[in-house]
Amino acid sequence: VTVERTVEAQRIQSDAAIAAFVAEHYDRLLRMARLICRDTSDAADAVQIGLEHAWRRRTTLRDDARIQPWLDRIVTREAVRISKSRQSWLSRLFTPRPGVTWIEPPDRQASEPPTFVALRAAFERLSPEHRAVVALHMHFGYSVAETALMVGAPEETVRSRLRVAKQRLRHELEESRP
Amino acid sequence: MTDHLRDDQLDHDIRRFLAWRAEDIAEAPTATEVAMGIRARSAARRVVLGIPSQLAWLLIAALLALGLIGAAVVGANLLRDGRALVVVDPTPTAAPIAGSLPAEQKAVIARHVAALNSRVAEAFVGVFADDGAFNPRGDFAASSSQFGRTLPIADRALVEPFMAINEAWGFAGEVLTCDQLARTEYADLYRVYSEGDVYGHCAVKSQWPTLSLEMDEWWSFEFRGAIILWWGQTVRDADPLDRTLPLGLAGLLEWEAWLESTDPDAAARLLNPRVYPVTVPCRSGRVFTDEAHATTAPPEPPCEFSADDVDVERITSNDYGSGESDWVIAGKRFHPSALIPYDVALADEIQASIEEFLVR
Repeated sequence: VTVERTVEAQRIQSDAAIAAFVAEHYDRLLRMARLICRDTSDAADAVQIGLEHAWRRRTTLRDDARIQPWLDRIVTREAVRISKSRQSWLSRLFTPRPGVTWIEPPDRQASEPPTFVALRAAFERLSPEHRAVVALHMHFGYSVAETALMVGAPEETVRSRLRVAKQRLRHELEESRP
Repeated sequence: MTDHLRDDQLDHDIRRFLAWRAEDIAEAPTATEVAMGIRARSAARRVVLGIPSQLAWLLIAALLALGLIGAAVVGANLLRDGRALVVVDPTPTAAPIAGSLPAEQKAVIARHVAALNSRVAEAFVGVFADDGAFNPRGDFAASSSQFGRTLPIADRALVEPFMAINEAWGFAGEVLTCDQLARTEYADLYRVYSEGDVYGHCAVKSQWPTLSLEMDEWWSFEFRGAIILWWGQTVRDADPLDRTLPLGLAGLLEWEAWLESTDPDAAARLLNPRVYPVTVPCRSGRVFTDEAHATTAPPEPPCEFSADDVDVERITSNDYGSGESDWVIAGKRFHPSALIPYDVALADEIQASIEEFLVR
């Protein structure tokens, strides 16, 4: 009975630790993944997989202070991976045809400022890797060097991705203005 | 009409948009739901790995033993009755192959790939001519071939180890397009041909999931009617942008460098240094079977690489490079090419190391 109680106590302790771990990081990581993935469902998948992976490997982290960038890196890469696999499936199912425009439901269009409508269209046309560097650098405030570490690419590649992404967003934004 | 946005205004607009988009998470599961999911899977792992698992493993082992004994009895009865075991020809399930190669040969390639992907050796052998051969991405010591990177299909006993290598790396090929080449075009491209009558040149997406590796390849096929005389592979794109697995060849080399710097002992055990002959022509290592063509062909340019220069370009530029060490698979000694030189017996450890590298 004592052993069973000990095991049960350990299980409760472990469950509480998982809950606390997820609660501490989930919202931030979900927002990060949402900026990279095309939809919320993929973003949630990326975070769930990333957090589970991180939970199993948390004991390998030497410095607790580095947990946030470590998690950000895991989830960023998972979000890019999921987005690319979805992209591949989509591209196989629906052969890309130039000139095809996705029509959004009217209620969604009405709720978005015109600037965001234009930026959203351009942002979603960027590759997951481009979306990742824009999100990490421009929203989460990581430097170019830190972003390069996050996405596993050379700094010059990150600068190039940022430059290309901003050019495309600028083009869409300028075209949309009256 | 458009007017030019100032940089600071653009940055401001993008940041506002990102902040707005990041809040579009209303439909996501809650943190509590995610924690419950992780907890459930952790608990499942605990059950599998904990004390109850010992009983579970014993039960599984007992069932497996019973299954093996049953299969042996059935097999022995079948053999005694003189009946052969029926080998099911795997059904190609991939999308139709595009390109100018005639449908008859495309259908053969589809069966070839299905057999390869499902590791059905009988079906794999069945699409080849009796005197056919292929590049097994290395050399078996027991091969009867006079040529490197050539395994005659007649060496039937070596096809199973070849399949086992593919199984260890989880290999899967997807043929995208196959074009028919004229004999001279094919010879110019591959510097070699058999006395076939149809020459196929196929773009293929190749994946080795155990290594998280994906590359685009050209596969060459030489046909006699609807049977394959030769199948070979060359790298088309070592780091395809549209790959779905994390690593291209450059990434795989990065993993090797990372392992060497972080854990030299593991690197010494898991890796297999690539070696190259000092002077080789830069193109295919196969020989002309057409002597007239061979005598008129221009000499091959020498490769311009330093002795210790091992990189993506060198690995993919010719097929002479190989792993320094050979190893044994299913009792057969195998000398791997430079592309994937690792010992398949270490596949689990290599996979774990690559996964660690990917999340570092």
